[in-house]
Amino acid sequence: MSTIALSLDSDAQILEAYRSGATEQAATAFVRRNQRFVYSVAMRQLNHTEDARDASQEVFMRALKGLDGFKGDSTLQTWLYRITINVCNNMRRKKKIVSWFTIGEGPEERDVASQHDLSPAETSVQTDFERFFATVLAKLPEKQRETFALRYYDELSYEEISTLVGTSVGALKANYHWAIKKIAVHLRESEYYESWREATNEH
Amino acid sequence: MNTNSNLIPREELELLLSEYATGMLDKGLEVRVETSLLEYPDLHKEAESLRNTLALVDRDAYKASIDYQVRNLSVHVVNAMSRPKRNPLRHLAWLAPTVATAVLIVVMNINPQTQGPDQLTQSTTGTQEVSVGSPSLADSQPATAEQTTLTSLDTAGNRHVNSKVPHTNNKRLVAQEEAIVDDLVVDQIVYKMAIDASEDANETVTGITDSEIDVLLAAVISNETL
Repeated sequence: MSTIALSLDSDAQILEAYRSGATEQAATAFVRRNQRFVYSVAMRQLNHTEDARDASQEVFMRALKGLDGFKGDSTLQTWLYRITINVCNNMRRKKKIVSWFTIGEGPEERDVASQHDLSPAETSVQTDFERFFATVLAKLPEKQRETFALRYYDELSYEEISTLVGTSVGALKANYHWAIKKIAVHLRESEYYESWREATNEH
Repeated sequence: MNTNSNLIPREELELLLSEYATGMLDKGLEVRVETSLLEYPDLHKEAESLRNTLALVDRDAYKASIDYQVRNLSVHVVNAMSRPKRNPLRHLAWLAPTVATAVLIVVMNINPQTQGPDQLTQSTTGTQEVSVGSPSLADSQPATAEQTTLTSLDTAGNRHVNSKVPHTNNKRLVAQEEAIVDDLVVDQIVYKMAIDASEDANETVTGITDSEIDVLLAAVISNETL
């Protein structure tokens, strides 16, 4: 058992361990290997930390139920990405339906994508700049935002992103280019840029 | 040193600026871009500006933030997988009383004869009870060779055993049932008349009036005094 747990550092090994009956170890390794990717996709889709966490859990539960029958037509990451998008879409739909039946809610509370909800503890963990940068990303068109995040944060190649989102490599390069240009404009206009420049000039 | 074949055309270089500024190029391509930028000072200036600006965006801090958010996720997933599956219709449980009420109303509207103080019930060895309102007792219940006891409830709620009939065939059972129903109707009319009579202030159940009782009492008292 311990040898299995130690060697689960690739998708193929995780699949093999899962199919051979070491489900708990394989599930743990599978989640740890992909949790950052799944959560960040869910967070971009839902813009709500609690919902993103719930969605991530749901994604992994669905994936693990279907892992035994995974044929390998696509990579595990592509498969997980599709599950995540489906789960987030379902969650958004459910939230919209529930919000229509909730008395006394304003329109801003109905729009789940319009808020970046954080608990007090999470707010203290996140820096002012991170909160500001989240608003900058929210201003980008969805395709540019997703391309930037998948390329910059998840460090995927354009070919991998193309498989995930179904857009050509050329279009993705253009999306990334324009996303960077817009982000740079917002950053230069912010107070953080000036203070950062002053700090670097002093050094 | 630098040959023209190594230089990247301006249009292509413009698209690569974002990649270069965010450090996403592999080492070989990065060197080519730096070399090519020397040929285009305006692009070189823009690339440096982008690189300085985007240095604010700390990728490692973002990853650390995500890792904090997803801490213990694997534990939650494994625990959730081992929990027993919940009923997917649990969220419709609140509908059960409404549906039950609706079904009851529909049944009452279809068969209003089942409601009322008097009910004829059929019990076979004490386990089955069928109301008179059923379209046909013989049709709805298969006859058995066992003895069937037919009972009725009066207005006071007392159960009366009317008869015991062996039902070996359906026709005989129906005939017995009809006769008992007639008897019940007569019994109930007599019972109701008795109650009505008791409610009359001047008349007892036996038909003697209050004034007649007074006369009889007076006679008794006079006899005792003599």
